[in-house]
Amino acid sequence: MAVLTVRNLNKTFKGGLFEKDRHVLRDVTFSLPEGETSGFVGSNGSGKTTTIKCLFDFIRPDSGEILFFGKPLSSESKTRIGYLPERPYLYEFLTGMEFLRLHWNLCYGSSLKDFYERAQEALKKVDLLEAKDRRLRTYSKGMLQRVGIAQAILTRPDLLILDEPMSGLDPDGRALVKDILREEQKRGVSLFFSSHLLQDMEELCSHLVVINRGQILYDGVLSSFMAEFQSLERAFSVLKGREEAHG
Amino acid sequence: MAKVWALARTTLREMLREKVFLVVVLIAIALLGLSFLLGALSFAEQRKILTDFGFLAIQVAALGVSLFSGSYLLAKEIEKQTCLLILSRPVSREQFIIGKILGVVALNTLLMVALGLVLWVLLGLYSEPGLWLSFAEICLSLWFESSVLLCMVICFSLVVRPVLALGAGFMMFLLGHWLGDLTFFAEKSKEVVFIQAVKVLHWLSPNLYRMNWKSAYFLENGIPAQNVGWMLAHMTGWAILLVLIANFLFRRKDIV
Repeated sequence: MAVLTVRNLNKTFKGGLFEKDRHVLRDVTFSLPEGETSGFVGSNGSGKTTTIKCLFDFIRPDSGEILFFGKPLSSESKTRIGYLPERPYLYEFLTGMEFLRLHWNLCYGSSLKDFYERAQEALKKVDLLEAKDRRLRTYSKGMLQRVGIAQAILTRPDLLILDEPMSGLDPDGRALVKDILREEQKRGVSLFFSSHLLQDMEELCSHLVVINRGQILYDGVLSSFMAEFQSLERAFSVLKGREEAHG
Repeated sequence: MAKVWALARTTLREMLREKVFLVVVLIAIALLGLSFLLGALSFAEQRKILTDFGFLAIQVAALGVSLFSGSYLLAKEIEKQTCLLILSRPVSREQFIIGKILGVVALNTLLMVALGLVLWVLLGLYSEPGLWLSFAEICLSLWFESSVLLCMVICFSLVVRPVLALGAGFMMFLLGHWLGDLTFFAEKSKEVVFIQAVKVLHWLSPNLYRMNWKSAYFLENGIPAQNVGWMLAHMTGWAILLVLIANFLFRRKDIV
């Protein structure tokens, strides 16, 4: 079963008096296989973040269908999804532990059964146990990214959606995030993460979705993609060239 | 409901830790101090001056928190995209807005209780139980006023920039209090257009002039029960309407 199915997603941002309309997504269609790690690759401005925001209804698509676990997005499906946005601006006045507790309360109400155990587990995975009682304002960029991942994995989701999870991190931070993703992979979690760093895709993904100028260029197995093009960079350039020639 | 309370608690925590409200509290304390100085000018009028300035201080504090916090409450969440993580959880946009509003209302309530207690002690009301009811009714009217203006500013902030929302909220506060005078002038002028325009304004703005009880007169003489009943119905209706409008606007908003 596909853990996420997107069909014919379209979005146009209306221009103002002197601006043209911007067609950001055009018939975006792809599906993610369950239990696999799928990469979402595209240049800056290609529509990756807009697509991900449409998944959660942060941006209302003009048309199209989005199904999580075979059904439209609902409260029930949201408890099975962990999400990290591109720039995870967090409530800086909260401590790490308070931040996780807020997310726990939003999923499970006031019951704190299992919370402390799961919070300790998540913070240990992202190596933030010692900083849990510090305000998020005092965290470095890398630490903020990691506490964002901690909240995403806190509820042991079945699907993790991460928008550029390694953006802006130093090599140690990137290595740690990759280790966390590999651990989640072993747990059988379906992963969907966007990046413009092709090397990360090659290392972690088995499935690939390529987007350019709001259109899906490829949706399939990474190994087939690599077999045809040898490297992801070359493949991306060729696909972009083909699409721009047609367009 | 637990999710709404979690959001309200977080909003209250934010406002207490960010200490934004301290500015208005300082202004309120300054007004109370000023009432003492002015009261010294006339011993006979000391209690009246203290009462009027005391309630004014409470009103300024509550209004300041409502207008300033309300104008930036959602705008900041949308601009900084801090709401994305919240809305990715099983929380609806309606629950999010209501939680944020309840957080600010909770802060206003705490402020009003604290300042109200100070004024209650300064006026020596602990030895005048006959005045407790009218004191509570006056404080309740100020609480409703600040809560409704909070909801109004939040609605404005979903459509215009926070600074404009703040200005518009303040203008609605003034309009609500000036409606009585506008009605008087309209009737005096006998201009049909003017009279009709003022009638329309009565529908477009909370009639705050009808609950302007923050004076020694109302404290000493009490407030008629039907007026209090009118206030409860009128302001509750406005609050519900504004929350519905805010929900409608936020539901349609793309968080880009």
